[in-house]
Amino acid sequence: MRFFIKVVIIAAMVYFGGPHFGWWWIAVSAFIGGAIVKSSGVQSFFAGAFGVGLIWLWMALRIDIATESILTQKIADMFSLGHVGFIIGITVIVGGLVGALSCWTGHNFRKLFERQKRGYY
Amino acid sequence: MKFFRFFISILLSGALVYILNQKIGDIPPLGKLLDPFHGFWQNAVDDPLDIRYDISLLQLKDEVRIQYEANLIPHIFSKNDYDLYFTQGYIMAHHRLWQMEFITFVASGRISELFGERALNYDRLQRRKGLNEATEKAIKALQDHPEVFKSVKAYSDGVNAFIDQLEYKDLPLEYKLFNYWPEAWVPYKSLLTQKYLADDLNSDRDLQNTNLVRIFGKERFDFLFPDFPDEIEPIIPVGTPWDFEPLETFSPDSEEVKNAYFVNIPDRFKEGIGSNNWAVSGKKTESGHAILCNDPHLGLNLPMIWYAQQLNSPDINTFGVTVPGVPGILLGFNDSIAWGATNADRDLRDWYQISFRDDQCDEYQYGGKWLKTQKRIETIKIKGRDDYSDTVVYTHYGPVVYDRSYMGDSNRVNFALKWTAHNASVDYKAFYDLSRAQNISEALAASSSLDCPPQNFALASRSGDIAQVVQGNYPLKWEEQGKFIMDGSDPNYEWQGYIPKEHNARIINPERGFISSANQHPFDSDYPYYYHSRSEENFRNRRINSILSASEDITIDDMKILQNDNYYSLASSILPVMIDSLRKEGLADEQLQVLDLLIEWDYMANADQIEPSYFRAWYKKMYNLLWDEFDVDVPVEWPSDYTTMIILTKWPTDTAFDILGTEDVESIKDIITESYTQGIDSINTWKELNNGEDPLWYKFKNTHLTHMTGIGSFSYAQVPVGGYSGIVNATSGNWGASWRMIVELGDEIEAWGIYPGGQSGNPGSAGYGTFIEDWARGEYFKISFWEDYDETREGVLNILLTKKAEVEN
Repeated sequence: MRFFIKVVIIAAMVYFGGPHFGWWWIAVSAFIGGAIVKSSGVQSFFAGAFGVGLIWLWMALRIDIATESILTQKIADMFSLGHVGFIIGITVIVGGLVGALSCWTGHNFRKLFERQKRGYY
Repeated sequence: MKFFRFFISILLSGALVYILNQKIGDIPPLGKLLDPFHGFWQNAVDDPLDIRYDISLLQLKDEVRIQYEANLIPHIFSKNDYDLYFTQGYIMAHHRLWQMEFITFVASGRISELFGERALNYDRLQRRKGLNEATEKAIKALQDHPEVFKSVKAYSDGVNAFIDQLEYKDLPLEYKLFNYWPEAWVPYKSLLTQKYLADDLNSDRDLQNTNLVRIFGKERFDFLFPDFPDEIEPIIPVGTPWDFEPLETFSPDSEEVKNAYFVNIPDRFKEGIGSNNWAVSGKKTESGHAILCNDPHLGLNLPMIWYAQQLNSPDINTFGVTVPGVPGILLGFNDSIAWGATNADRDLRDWYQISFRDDQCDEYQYGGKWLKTQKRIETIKIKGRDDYSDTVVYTHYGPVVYDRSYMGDSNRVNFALKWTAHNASVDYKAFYDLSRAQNISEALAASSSLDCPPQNFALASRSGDIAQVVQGNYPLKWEEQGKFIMDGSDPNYEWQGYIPKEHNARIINPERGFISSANQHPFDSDYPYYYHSRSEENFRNRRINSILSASEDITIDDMKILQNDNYYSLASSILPVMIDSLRKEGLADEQLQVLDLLIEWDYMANADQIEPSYFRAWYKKMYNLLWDEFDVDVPVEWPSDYTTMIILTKWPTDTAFDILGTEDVESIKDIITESYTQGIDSINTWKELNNGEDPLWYKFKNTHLTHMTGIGSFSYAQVPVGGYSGIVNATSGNWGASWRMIVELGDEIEAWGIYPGGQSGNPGSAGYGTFIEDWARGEYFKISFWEDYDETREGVLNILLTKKAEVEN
């Protein structure tokens, strides 16, 4: 559940903030998402990847379909990738990787302030 | 531990974001580029006509109306000229910002800033040619014409208004790929673009000529490279009297070429450079109105070098094309006249060998004295490296282009360039005035502002006049002056002034009812001034003239057919001799079949024929065997197709037929027979590389439209178009008819146009290549030319620009 909330928070931030900030906004969104919702490090990593990746996938697909791949195909050819799917894939991987690392960083940031539960005194 | 983990994670994610924000080698900044909210995705356009100019245009003086046709051609209606040129600049930036800026980078030698060290030699040459200095002079000269200069300034303001409101997501794609940002536009850049055209259209071969004379001797050189070959068909018909008293020229005693220099000059060979224009008078047309046609042949790049638009203000109403960066209209028509241009090149660049006093190059010898040089330090920014400082030495002739530090292979190499493009000229004014001219005499007067690059202007008016003028600033020279490198220390070798503009060749309403030019000789040898050029056409002009002479009741459709005429004159004049001289015994079956094909051929070079491919392959091998003696390790010019035709048809025992390095003395038959086999072999090799396909002409010659950066996926290859260099439809590999225009000047002007590209410079827009298919098929769009703004006009996008920035869609 927390994982799901985390993904939704990050996705919403990326979707609504994306048009207004530079591309680095995905890192900020994922960091904040990682910091404010408690979960494990692994969960944070994947929540960041999904939160950013899903929105970038959605946006890229929407543009690609609306423009009938007019530019996606040319960019795919420019990078010698052939199929537009690869460009969409790389877009999602790049966004997702930045999201994953940033969210994990956010999670680690939160950890700095969490109290130790184990009392051995 | 948790601090360590946080530290590692923030380091990793920070590094990743940093790396993805950088251009690394040739890889663009991937994070920025792939971001669907801002990156390349935002350059993908679903509807090219979805145009929103929703910004505050404070500089506007009044409201401006724009009507966009579906093919993105804008019609600008303004209430004053400032707003007109401002809006033109704004629109041009919207569609072609990257291209117009990139052209100025190319012209001024700045592409190392984008591409790194590999472009350094190119940049150095551009700067050494002195175009930047020439542009500074041109700006000063134009400021003496405040009204004209105002249009350049207004245009510049418009471009900047667009740049100022740009966000990263709206940047043209190329900026994102190469990771830079557009600079502010200045009037300097508009004039620099014109200098770029002067450079592009120049065909000086003086250094090559010098090498040729050294290798082959003057007699042979004159035989193969005559200034006036026999039987030419010039622009001004032979026998036209000259109605002026020519200026005297002084000719020094000694004219010998003193030295020959084997230098590593970059040898730019351009196939098919040239253009056609013609006008027919009303007595030869069906409608009784004059028709003007023009198709300039330029490099086929994308975005295409032309942009089409209508400019309408109380002062002017004109339609035509211009080069992005240059305000106004370069080729087009207004409500009274139409004008078209072809290149009127002559030897406008001369080279002087400079003798410096010492290695400091502070002084050089001239007329027994030592003159002081000036030095201009050119600082070239290089991507990923320290700046490069190049000291260019200036003499009174001009900049020393080749010297010890640049391309020179010995201390003797110090060549200064004197070039008419260096002069303070107001070339832009010619086009500014042309678009306002109301009749032929005003148009002729307007054209006289053009110095460089000289153009053959074809003119036609609604009142029925037609005219042709060979316009430009031509140096006054003695016989053969500047054909070879000259001695810069001898004042006798100075140019002797310029041919007065009123002595430039012209013809108005000739008896034959038409005027035409196709880069052939402007006149024959009875023109009272020395003439030398290296770009004469001898085929297109004959074909055009023979068709125009024979035609009556000419219609616009006839003109479309003529502009797209694929009759291969070279083949028709040379192939019969080749077939005659071919030894048929011993030919294989395949070779005999091809021979039958060629015997039956109608000499048309249409896109889907295979005969022109076989002819071209054979001709090319024959040409290489015939002129094998030109295969030397210094830059030389090779004989023209016309000379080749003359040798084959009239000099069958010429020494050229002997192949160097063989014991035998080869004859024409040996050459022809050997090259026939080689030619068919090369076609078979081509087939193997192309999956066994038939060598259809368009595939074989491969007309390609290449993006200015060379990015393959932004380019078009094997465009299905016929024609070739030397054919009226002069469309070869990467040169061709860059703008076809036909204007009939009746009560209502009817005009048609097409160019191989699209109005949008954005590879992500359908507007990028809109016209390419139609252009290849020889089709045109009908040009809409409107008196004034009409809100009820259908099929257009209406945009209102106001000073207060209210927007209507």
